[in-house]
Amino acid sequence: MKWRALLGFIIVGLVLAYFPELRDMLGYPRYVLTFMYFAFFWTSLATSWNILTGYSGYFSFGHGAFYGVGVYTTAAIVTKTELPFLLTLPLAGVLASLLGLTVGFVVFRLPQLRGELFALLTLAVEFVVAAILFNLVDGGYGLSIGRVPYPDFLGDFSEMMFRLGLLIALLTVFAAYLVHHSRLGRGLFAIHDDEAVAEGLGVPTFRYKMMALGLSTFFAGLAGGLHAVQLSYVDIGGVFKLTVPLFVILMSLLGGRRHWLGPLIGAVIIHTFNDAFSDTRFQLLNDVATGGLLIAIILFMPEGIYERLRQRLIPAATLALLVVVIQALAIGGRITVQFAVMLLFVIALLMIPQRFYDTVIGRFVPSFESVKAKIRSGAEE
Amino acid sequence: MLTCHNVIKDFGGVRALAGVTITVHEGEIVGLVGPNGSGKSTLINNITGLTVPTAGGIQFLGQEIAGNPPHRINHMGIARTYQIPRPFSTMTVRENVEISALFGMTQGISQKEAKQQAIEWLDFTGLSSYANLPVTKLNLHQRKFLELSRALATKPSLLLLDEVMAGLNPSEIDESVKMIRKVHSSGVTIVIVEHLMRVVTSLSTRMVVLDQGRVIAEGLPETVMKDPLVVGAYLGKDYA
Amino acid sequence: MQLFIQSLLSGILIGGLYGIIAVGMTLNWGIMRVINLAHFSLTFLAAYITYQFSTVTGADPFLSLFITLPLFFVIGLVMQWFFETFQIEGFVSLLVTFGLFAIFESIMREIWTADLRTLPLDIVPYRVESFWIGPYALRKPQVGVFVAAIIVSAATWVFLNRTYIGKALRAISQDRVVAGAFGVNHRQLALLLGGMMGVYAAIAGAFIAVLFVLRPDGTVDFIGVIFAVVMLGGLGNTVGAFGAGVIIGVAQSLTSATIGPGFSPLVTFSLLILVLLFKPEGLFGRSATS
Ligand SMILES: Nc1ncnc2c1ncn2[C@@H]1O[C@H](COP(=O)(O)OP(=O)(O)OP(=O)(O)O)[C@@H](O)[C@H]1O
Ligand SMILES: [Mg+2]
Repeated sequence: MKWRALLGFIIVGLVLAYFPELRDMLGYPRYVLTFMYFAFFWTSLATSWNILTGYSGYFSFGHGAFYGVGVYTTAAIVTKTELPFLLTLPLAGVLASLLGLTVGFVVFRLPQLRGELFALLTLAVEFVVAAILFNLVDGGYGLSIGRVPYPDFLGDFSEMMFRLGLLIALLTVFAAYLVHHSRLGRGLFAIHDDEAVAEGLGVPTFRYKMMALGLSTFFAGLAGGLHAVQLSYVDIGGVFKLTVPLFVILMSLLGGRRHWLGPLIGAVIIHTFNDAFSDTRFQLLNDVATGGLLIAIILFMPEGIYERLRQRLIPAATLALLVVVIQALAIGGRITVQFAVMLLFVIALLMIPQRFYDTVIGRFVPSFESVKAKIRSGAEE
Repeated sequence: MLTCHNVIKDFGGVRALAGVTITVHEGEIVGLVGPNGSGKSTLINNITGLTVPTAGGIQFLGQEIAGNPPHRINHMGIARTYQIPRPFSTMTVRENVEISALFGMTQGISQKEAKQQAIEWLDFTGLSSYANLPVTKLNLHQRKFLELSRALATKPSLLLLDEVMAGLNPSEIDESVKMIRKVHSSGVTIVIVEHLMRVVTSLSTRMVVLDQGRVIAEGLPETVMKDPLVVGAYLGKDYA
Repeated sequence: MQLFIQSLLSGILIGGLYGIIAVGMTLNWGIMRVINLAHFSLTFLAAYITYQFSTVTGADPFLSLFITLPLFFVIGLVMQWFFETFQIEGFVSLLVTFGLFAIFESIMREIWTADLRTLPLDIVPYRVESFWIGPYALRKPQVGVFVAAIIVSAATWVFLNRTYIGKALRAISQDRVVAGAFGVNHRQLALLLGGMMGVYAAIAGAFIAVLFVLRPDGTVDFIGVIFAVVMLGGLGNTVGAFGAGVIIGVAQSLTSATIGPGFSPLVTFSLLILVLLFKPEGLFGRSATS
């Protein structure tokens, strides 16, 4: 099963890696590559966050700290030494991971530090790291990276970012997949539900939490290292903004924390929204909607899209198709905006409270699961 | 097999265990009884490592275990049930048991084997028809049996049962008595905490009575129940 | 030495401001179990409204309290109504108010832009004036905020400990179900408390408008400080919040004076981490209650 999955990931990776080559043939504009790089970036960040938080329930508000360490590792080395930037990426991951493990080593021994106290503590870690880097590395002037040399086979800059971003996202999601399906994942789910009971039934909780945190922070650092090059100029205020924790939380909650695909779904959706409504006219609306969406998800769809979609696949797909067709025929406009509008409709459908849905829509439209079951029983007869 | 030596446990100002010394031999069913608040659950918590004794030692199979992390104690062969069931609430019934099969004594089994074993243990406790339901669908008596399946799935050599029968009806109690006998005859040593005297006295090979964190009597069920100290502890001094 | 005492004094005074903001946080968390990140936003919103009021009318910023106090009482009440209706508390409240926090910040950025804003000196000449004790200067607005903090935390203490409503609130913080059984109307009290939070925000906001340069993301500078104060003071402990505010204020200004201003957030957040790790119940114990 794991080998099949690995093969699947490799195939998806190869197909996507070929995407830049097809630009002439498909005729899409260049910004699509950058758009997709950002989708990969957010996928890596959200998925890495979810390896700890989604699986074990330890809710971190400080993921930006580890991402930031990654950004600053690459930025500092590239600006101050001759080292090729590709080599700094693993280092960025390792340093972020070391920081994570140090925090975990202290925090995970203290049983009272769960829930909101853990969240606060990780938030404080983010600010401490920002303050340390500000004084030791940044000095208040920021670091200017500019263009970095890299091997030719990676293509031009946006192609290179696309490919490397894709690679990191694939690695992260594959790690999340492996954890989800391994002993580690099972143990983390048990910790999520009741840590003391899990420990009593033989789950080495401390070690497992450390492993989850180590992996989670490694991939955050890796993604951060690459993102330094994309940003090209980094400063403390920008890198350690609260938007990073806000977005990874939002993305994972939206997509669903219980499944390895959840954060990916959330990252793609939120990134699409941000891109589609990035026009300054919509800035306020977009920001308000971001915060509002977080609240709405918590109140009306705490289990996230992935779970809801399984139950409401048929109406959701129908609605999506309808919206796409109407837009294509009657309205038009930028393709990412059309995509975003379609997503908005689907999310609205998914957010309808279960009770209400059951009495109104569920009565007429069977769930996907029940259709599957019917087909299966029909085949047996 | 298990020796508690002068175990003391304080909670702030409250002394829940005031120097408990108990030995459990291999093959026994020890009935651990005592009035409410006498420290039975606290003793189990200390043996399984959920809490660490304030003072005193606990040896299992010749090794000191007090202060060890609970998962290591579990891997040495001790499992317990909770007085108030604490299932993993987002999992199905089978997944609950899989966790302990996967992580208990026989480590390193594959997830497939763990699933197989989980199904077997659910068969044993009569829960197999609920295997794929979320645990939230279970009633109290089923949750207690789930506790038992989970503990058994870790393959313990010593099983600590904290009031598995409280709140069950007579036929369910008979069922669980049979089950415990079966577990015992498969070679598991058992310590059973129970308020139902009829059940404990019939099940246990030896009894230990706790009162206010102290052992006040110990011995064969018939003799212990006649001990004036025990009668006094349960009914008040006047009856002694 | 003189520098040391000078920064000690201004640290103590500015600690008063932290105390006022923290009292709101600590009550909301300790009694209603709502960890309200939006409290920072409300405080800054009040500061901006104070600023706007003064620059438009040319009047003293503290006169704006006639507007902001009732306005924020209502805002706080509405917010608490929202928390009550959806039963938002504990960890979930941290997430929900994180969302509110983001919304408020973008609204403030939209209205007042990301530019830095300060009240002009001809409106608040006393901003740069000081009382002098020998060689030591006590800045007037800082003295003001310190006095206000003493009044606020003393009044809150009396309210909680000496009035019937206050006692009912404390009963809720100990055990909601039992308190309900004794006829304590949880909902009305919660709304009242929400309104009080708004009042604290309005008061703190007025002083922030006078003391600081305003920017929409200035809230971030306060998050660590205030959480450190709340944790150090003990959840729900209003007098503790004031004491802890002073401690943190002193720690900050001494760091700024001796090592450099860049290190002041480092010290605050490290303090917060240390408190969380080693003394989560706070220096002064948890109590709106005991
Ligand atoms: N975590 C704790 N904190 C404070 N006191 C505790 C704690 N756990 C147990 N106690 C106290 O220790 C004493 C023993 O409690 P314990 O639960 O062990 O009794 P028990 O014999 O299991 O009673 P029961 O038959 O009601 O289950 C009681 O006085 C109880 O209040
Ligand atoms: Mg008990």
